[in-house]
Amino acid sequence: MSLPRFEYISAKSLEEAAGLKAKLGDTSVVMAGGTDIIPLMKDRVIMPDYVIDLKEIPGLQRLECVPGEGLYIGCLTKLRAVETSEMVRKEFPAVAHAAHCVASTQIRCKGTMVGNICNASPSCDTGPIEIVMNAVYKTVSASDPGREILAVEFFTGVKKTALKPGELVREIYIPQLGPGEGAAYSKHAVRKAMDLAIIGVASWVKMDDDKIADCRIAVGGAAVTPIRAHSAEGILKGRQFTDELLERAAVAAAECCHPISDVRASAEYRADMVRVFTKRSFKKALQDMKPQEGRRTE
Amino acid sequence: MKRVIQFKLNGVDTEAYVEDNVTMVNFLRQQMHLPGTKRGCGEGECGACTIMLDGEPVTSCMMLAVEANNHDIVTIEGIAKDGVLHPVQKEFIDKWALQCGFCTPGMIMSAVALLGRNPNPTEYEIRDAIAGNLCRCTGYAKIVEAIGAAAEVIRKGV
Amino acid sequence: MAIVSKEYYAEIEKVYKKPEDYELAGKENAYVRIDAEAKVSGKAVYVDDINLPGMYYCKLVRSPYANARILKIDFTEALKVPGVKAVLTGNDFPEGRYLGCPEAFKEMADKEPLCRETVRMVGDEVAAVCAISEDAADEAARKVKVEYEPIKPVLDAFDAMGSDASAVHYPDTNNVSMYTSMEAGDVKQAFSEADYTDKYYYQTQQIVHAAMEPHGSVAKYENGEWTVWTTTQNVYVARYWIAWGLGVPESRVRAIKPVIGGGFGGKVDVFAHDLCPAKFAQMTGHPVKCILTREEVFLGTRTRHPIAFEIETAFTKEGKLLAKRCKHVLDGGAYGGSGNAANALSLIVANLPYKFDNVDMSAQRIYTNKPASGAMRGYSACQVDFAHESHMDEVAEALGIDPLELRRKNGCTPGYLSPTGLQVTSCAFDETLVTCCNEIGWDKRDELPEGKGIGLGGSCFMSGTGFPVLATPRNNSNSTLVRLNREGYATVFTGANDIGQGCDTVMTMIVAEELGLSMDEVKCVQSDTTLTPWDSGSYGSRVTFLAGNACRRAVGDAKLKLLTHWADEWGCKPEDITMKDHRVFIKSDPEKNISFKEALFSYEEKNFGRSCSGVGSFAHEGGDQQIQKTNYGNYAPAYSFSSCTAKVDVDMETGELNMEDFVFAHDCGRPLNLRAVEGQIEGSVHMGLGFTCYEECLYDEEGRHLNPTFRDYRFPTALDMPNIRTFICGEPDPEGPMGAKEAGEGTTAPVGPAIANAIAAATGVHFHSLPISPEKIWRAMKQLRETGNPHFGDEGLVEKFAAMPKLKPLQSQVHH
Repeated sequence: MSLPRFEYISAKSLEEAAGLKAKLGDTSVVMAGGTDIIPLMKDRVIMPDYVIDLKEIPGLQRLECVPGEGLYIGCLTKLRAVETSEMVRKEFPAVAHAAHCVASTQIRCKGTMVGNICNASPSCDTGPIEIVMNAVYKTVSASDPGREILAVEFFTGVKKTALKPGELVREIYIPQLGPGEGAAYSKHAVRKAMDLAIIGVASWVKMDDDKIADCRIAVGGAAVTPIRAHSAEGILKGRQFTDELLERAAVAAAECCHPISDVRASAEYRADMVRVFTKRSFKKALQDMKPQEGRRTE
Repeated sequence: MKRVIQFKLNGVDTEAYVEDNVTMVNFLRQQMHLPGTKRGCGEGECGACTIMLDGEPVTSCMMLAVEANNHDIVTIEGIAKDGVLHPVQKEFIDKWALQCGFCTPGMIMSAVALLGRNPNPTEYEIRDAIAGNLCRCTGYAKIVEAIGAAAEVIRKGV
Repeated sequence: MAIVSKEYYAEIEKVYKKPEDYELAGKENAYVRIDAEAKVSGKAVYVDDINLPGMYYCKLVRSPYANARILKIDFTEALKVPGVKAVLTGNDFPEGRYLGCPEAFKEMADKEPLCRETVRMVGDEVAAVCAISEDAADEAARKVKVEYEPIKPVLDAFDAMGSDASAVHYPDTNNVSMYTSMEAGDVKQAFSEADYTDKYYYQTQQIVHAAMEPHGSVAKYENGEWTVWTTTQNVYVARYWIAWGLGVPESRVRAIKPVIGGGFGGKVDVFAHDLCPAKFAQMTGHPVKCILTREEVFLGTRTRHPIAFEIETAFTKEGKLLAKRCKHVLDGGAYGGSGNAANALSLIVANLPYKFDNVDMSAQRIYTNKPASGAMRGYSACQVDFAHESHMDEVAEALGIDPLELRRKNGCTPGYLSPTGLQVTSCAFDETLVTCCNEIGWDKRDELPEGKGIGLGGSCFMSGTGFPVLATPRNNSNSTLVRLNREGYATVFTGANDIGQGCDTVMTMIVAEELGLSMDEVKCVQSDTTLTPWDSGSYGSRVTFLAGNACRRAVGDAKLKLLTHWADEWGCKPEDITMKDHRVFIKSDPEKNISFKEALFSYEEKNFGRSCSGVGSFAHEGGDQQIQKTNYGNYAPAYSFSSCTAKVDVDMETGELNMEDFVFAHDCGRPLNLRAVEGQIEGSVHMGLGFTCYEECLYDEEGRHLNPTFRDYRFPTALDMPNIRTFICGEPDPEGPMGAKEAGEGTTAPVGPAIANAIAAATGVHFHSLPISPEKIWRAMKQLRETGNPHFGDEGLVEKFAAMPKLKPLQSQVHH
């Protein structure tokens, strides 16, 4: 119930925060909502000397859909804002749903989308959907101009990301769904709220008539990071959609994962659930697909 | 390290001198002498410590006191106005929506926050709003009923 | 059955209010909980809300090993932390003062306030630190260095019984903490004559109470007296053990129970966090607070007993139950305490709710190096009912009989006396069975598609375990005082311990009802060993029944004095006078009608200002300490009966369970407040659902907890609960206060089998162990597909029971 001692610094700009992080290194930790780092401090998993808070920096709560481009989520934008935004629910329903899957209302009213991916839990709810939608994380850095990291390259290990020391994620960019494109995230957990995913599968599909022009599938909770199921995608791409085809792809998705057994589930169960939820997620993506060019909605 | 924070607390402009590493729940209970916000788990999982931060429900054990600076904080002690109970509080009493009462302050905060943004929630929306408030006594049934009843009272402007 | 105390109180009971005059009892919306306003305003004072001037904080140091010898405790670094005021080890408490069970066998107490030489579970307390702030105490506790010599722990009850297992407490005892048996009739004969016999195995898991309020206490020491505010379910028993552990007379310790945030049995025992602040308070002269973290609640308080079952039954082909033979193996964890009583209780519950003449049962509670199992809502009934009621469905399937009909055929009826002496008075079990089946659509259950199923479970529980606690005169459970005030109100002094279930409100209501006052005109003083008389505690479903009856007798005593005075004035009998709506009057005579205030003033006038007060008590005749050993005799003054039905929808690919409907029918006599009873039932369903499908404490091979947090130990949220429909059945019970029986403990028990039986109907798999998680359903269906075996979860139990050593009833184990 008590936290270790630290000095709290409220940064005035992202550049200042990045600079401080670079300078203070591992003795410091950056805080947005704090819902990941406070429990870690309480459990003495981390004991930073400095906590650098971003929350007083203005202009970081962007939540905007730019037509022709996509969704921009600032690094202080809360999960709750994403979950409840009419615009996100209409244009990026899978992203709103994934945000809703995280923890509880209270955590989502404090925790941020960017914080969720930077925590890089293997079963994080927002990772898989951002991966399949080819999200890009725009960074800011003390020493260089910052870069763009593709979501699938961002997660490098359990609680590890591709961020360099002193590099912070400034914004998430998620390309909008075009005609004939759909996306979905399906989470499998025991409780209907406040539960880490046993596994979660996100799908993105682009249809051309009843042919799968392109697709991406990402699995969370079945490896050290959320991963793309390339072999599953290979089975589906360019083919006509059938349930039998999807079943084969789902089996492939399960086979490409290396889940662990822990207090939540066994590896064996996780693997089979990857199979089941690949199907469910893909079907949901098809269901939520934007109308194809020249076609009316069904 | 200690620093001064300035914030609104239950509608009153307030100043306090806080340690950096004090959590909001401990600050409220021990320094501001507002023990209505409860400590249930210390890890943001049970919701007993729920308060409102700028009108949104948050678990105060997952918040540093210093984060309150320049913000608006409401605790259970600030829900009744001038001694008049809020409709949510009245309905909790009338519908027997509490037993041991330990989850009740946090539950009421989540409920008041819900009705503030959604005056006509469905049963699912009520349950979703309080999904982060664990209760071990009631099975939630009468809590959901009380929140629905309060919503109706507020809508009718009674 | 002659009840001696009933004769003693016969005159008083004559002036009880007649049911037709009730204004509050059983009347919908007639009153609200007396503590509701405080609780919704955040003003109710729980232990952690108590802050006294100059208060210090205490933190406990706990063992990381499940079994080890303590070699050395070094406080050097801890004492360097600024603000540290004192430290404690086991040697600072008088030797030989073990903490134990409140209900019986205090000579079996086995827990030192702080371990002196040996730790027996991960989390066992070895030292304590006192400092000026919680942070400083926490920091200092982390810096206490303890050297241990680890011993290989024994973590499985069956392993612990083996001759080569290390002794958790006493050598050469097979680690048996309690052993009881129950015999009646001729079981051998019944089995040889039966058309049908069987043998089945079941296993339940360890879970915790997870009351939302963590345990803790605040202690002060002034004028040679300790005052301890503690999260307890029984303030008199807490005082007993605190005084005992400190080595001082009880008269020097005052124990007070403030508002409690849930107990469910987990706050029955007394712990290091009660003793250490008291000791520190004496050492430092300052009040001292100790509140456990959630992790400490998991590690160092209590759990529900895991139980392994071997059940054999004999039936006629028409479905008449002839005989039951069973063995229960309870995993007791590292200590006894309230857990000792669960052993005998598990057999008593296995005898009901059905009638059969031939009984051969044994139960043993085994020590292991895990957190101590103790009292937990249902007190073994949840585990027993899961096993025995799942088993009933197996029998129904084998005999080709409708599970409902099988239960109805054998169900208890009013006035039933079991072969071992359990005396049922009122009983509406049949009505509860029929009601919950009708409401769920039992007739249509075979038409449901695969993946959907309806299941039934029934149970019986003691209403008012009037069991002797410590050494109580006449097995008295509660004594209450009521004082009538001429200014127009009354005060009730009750030792009854409200832990959230609302007994304060019940006592207030009983007094208000009898006197014709409104609820806010009755002041309730509760659970303080200086101010209120004895109460044995809130567990075993005793409070409404025992304390309620005592309370009614107390107000009846005062009422009799007042009405005798007015009977003299008016020339009638006391029982001819009614007290209703603030008036005292004779119904048939409009002249004889005065106000409550006037009535009292006149009484005091005549009696030289002596105030009108009453004392009442309740003792359960037949409650005999020996019942824990011999299991013969009646356990409670009445029994409540419950049945419930569940309709489930199982996702056949993932094993995920959706509860579509849930119906609960409960016989609790006359419900004193319908909403309160419904609330108890709804809470029971929540706990039963958690037990059946969600919860489990997990350990590694060294006995370390894998999930001592709410992140990883999960029970249902608001989104996980089904809609629950509640039906109250039955007639007012002759023994219950205003006809009421228990509601809230026994109601947890039938939930498990109803759900398990529904899942069996939906999937074709019979589950023999809990929790029935989605993964378990998935595995079971896989097994069914691959091997055709519809039984899942009893692997290994046959061998374990077969290899069990023959045990004998133990002599009292004492520490030397």
